[in-house]
Amino acid sequence: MTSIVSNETLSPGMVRRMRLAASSRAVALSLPSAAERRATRTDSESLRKWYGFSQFRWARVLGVSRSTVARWAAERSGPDTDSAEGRLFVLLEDVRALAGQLRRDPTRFRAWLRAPSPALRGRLPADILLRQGPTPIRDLLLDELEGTYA
Amino acid sequence: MTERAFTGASAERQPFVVRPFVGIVVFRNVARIRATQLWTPTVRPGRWSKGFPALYASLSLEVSLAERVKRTTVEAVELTIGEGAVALGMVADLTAMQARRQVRVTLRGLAGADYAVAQRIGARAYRAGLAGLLVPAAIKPVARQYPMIIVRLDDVRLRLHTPSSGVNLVVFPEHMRSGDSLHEILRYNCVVQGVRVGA
Repeated sequence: MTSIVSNETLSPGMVRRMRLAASSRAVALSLPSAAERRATRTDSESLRKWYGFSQFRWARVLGVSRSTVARWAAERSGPDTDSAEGRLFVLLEDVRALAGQLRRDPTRFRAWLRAPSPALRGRLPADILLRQGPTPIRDLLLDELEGTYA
Repeated sequence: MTERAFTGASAERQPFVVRPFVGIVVFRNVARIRATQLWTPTVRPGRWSKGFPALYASLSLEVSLAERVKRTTVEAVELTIGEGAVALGMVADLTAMQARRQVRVTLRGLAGADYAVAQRIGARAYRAGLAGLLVPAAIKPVARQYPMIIVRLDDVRLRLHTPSSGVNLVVFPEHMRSGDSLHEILRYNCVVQGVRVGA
């Protein structure tokens, strides 16, 4: 029998260190660093296709006009990182990175986006993404990674 | 040790009725990629915790899997499941109606879509120094939408009925005292998938 958590192995000092590390890196642990993000920065059109959204829906997710999305597609570019839509874009990239860690290919991820989720009161993750942004979806994936209950 | 009211130095309003929780097997799962952190508590907010470490486990495998299907739904997900033997001296049991009355909460308040009530109770238990909470699992919507769970373990394929109720154990590792422990007794990898109504 292997002792996993006990008073011998979980000293107050260890708990403090664990807590500090966990609180500052709870999300970062599973997500790419800023440098990794820069190196793997994708364009809007590639990410849109990965999610399987139409340009119209993608524009609604990012809160921009459809013509802006079409322009990004033509230029193979995306939003500025400092803009509101740029911050949303980073979160959407984070969701993709987490899905990758969970070994979900785009097809399986899209199926999940379009299936009612009891954790979201029976609503579709895709609808939540549209109405509330990527954060609740990212948190669901982090819950899955960490085994947190909701 | 017998059941007793525990007010603790910083317990607020109503005291928790605490009892030992010893020799019971609990089940827990994480994504297989995180298998090395199977028994690592999370600091991210959960239904019963916000701002402090907590480890979520279930008293049955089916409930543990239902908690996972709650998020992953129709996806076939690769999980690492752990079974652990628990010995905790001070645990509050909120699965009994009387215990919930004691802290003035309802089952609906604890298992509803809003986490505020459960997180408040969790924070009170944490501040009172309890090592854990036995709580009702909020899995009724899972059973309604995904009545079956398919589990593939090597060559074995099981179809389990999704339970609509069950009990979870939320452990606060920071408050484990001398004699408290959580020992892993078994772990295995499997693939789990919810089956939607009508599928």
